[in-house]
Amino acid sequence: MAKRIDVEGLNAWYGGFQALADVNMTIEPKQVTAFIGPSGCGKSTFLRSLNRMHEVVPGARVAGRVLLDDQDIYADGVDPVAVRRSIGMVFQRPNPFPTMSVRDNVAAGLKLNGVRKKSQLDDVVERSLRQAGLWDEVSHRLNRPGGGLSGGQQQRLCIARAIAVEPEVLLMDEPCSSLDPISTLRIEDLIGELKDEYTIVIVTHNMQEAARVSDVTAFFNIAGAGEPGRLIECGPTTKIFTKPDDTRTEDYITGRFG
Amino acid sequence: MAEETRVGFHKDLEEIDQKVLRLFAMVAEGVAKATDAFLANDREAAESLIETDAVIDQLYCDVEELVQRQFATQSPMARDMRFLLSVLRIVPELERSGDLAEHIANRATRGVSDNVTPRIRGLIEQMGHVATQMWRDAADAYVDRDGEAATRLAERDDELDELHSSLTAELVTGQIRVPIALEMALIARFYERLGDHAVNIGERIRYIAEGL
Repeated sequence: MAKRIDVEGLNAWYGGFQALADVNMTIEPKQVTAFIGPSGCGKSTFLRSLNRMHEVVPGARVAGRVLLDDQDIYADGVDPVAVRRSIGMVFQRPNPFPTMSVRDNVAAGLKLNGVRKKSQLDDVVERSLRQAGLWDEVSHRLNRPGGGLSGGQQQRLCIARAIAVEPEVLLMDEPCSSLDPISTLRIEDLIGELKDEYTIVIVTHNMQEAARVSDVTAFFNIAGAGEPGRLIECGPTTKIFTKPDDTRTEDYITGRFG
Repeated sequence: MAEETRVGFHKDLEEIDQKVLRLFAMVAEGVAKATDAFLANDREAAESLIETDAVIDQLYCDVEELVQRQFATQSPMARDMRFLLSVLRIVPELERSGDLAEHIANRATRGVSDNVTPRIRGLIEQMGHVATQMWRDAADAYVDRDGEAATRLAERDDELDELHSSLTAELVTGQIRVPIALEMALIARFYERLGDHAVNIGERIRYIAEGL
């Protein structure tokens, strides 16, 4: 299920502004890879390039290759919607369909894919909610609106919705930044469980969070205002937070430069 | 980009660094003074050293508390984490070494050195000299974050171990009275331990410098 991502010479632009330059890296399956770096370093742009979400911004474009188990997602003829189906995404703010029921939120993707059989949908809804650690809390109110759940529950609902369509990769863009500490820890635990089945990539501003949840950490930085973001260093999380190779990484994580 | 954040945290790290440095200076000079006091039977110098030990103990507690506070509140990482972890391991070695210097000085108040042979005196002088050099080297290595000092200190420690063996061999020849020989064996052991603590500290400095 989980697939490996090889990124080769990736560049990204917003109109005439280059946001990301020459990124090369491999994201291993069944591991959590965290992207860290200051604001504007291109880490979210890079994340969004991994499932062709970057190009939905008017004027935005990408050059380079992103191979999902050797298949270039930017190759001619590849359907971006199919890419996003196999590379799911969870966003910063929980974004369930607020008036849609909990059940329909989880089943939404499957229904779009043409699954209609109720028993099959029910199975997937339960499995996804269990995987997202939410089943026990919502099993008695599956027909109530998703918008009625707490923030942390809504985010886990979004994770359930993302995994319901059985993606190979799960991209998370600061998934805990709008949550309280306890909800954050629950999501972090959940990420640890989900990595047994998925390739997980997480962008976070919280370095302690990156240290807690990830196996591999990639540090992005910009040389100055108007410069493109670049990948500075990528390695095992323990190494990055104990003895990084690059002084720019060390300066960033110890707060010597903001 | 070039803007320092976490200024308060870095000030605390600086304060910890200065206190550890003070401990290094007190211990390194303590070893030198203890040897001089012992050989010269200088009771006054010995007593002043014994008083210094209380200051060392207090500094040790202060540093531990400051380090604990950083771990509790600052989530230190990378070089900061390595530094704080190392400090936690270095300060007990410093405190113990301060005790050892105090134990040596203590013998000056009992007039032990008057009752030994010139060869034994010479060996003690040499042990004191090597131990003092090792401790000054350790202090410099700490200031310079010199990871290579660990190797130098280990080499000098071999020298100290050999002197320890020579002195022990001298003590069992029966030329001096048994109570004095026992005291001298203890003193030789104190120097030998002072060397070991300096070696341990060298390893910790290597970890700060190189993460190894």
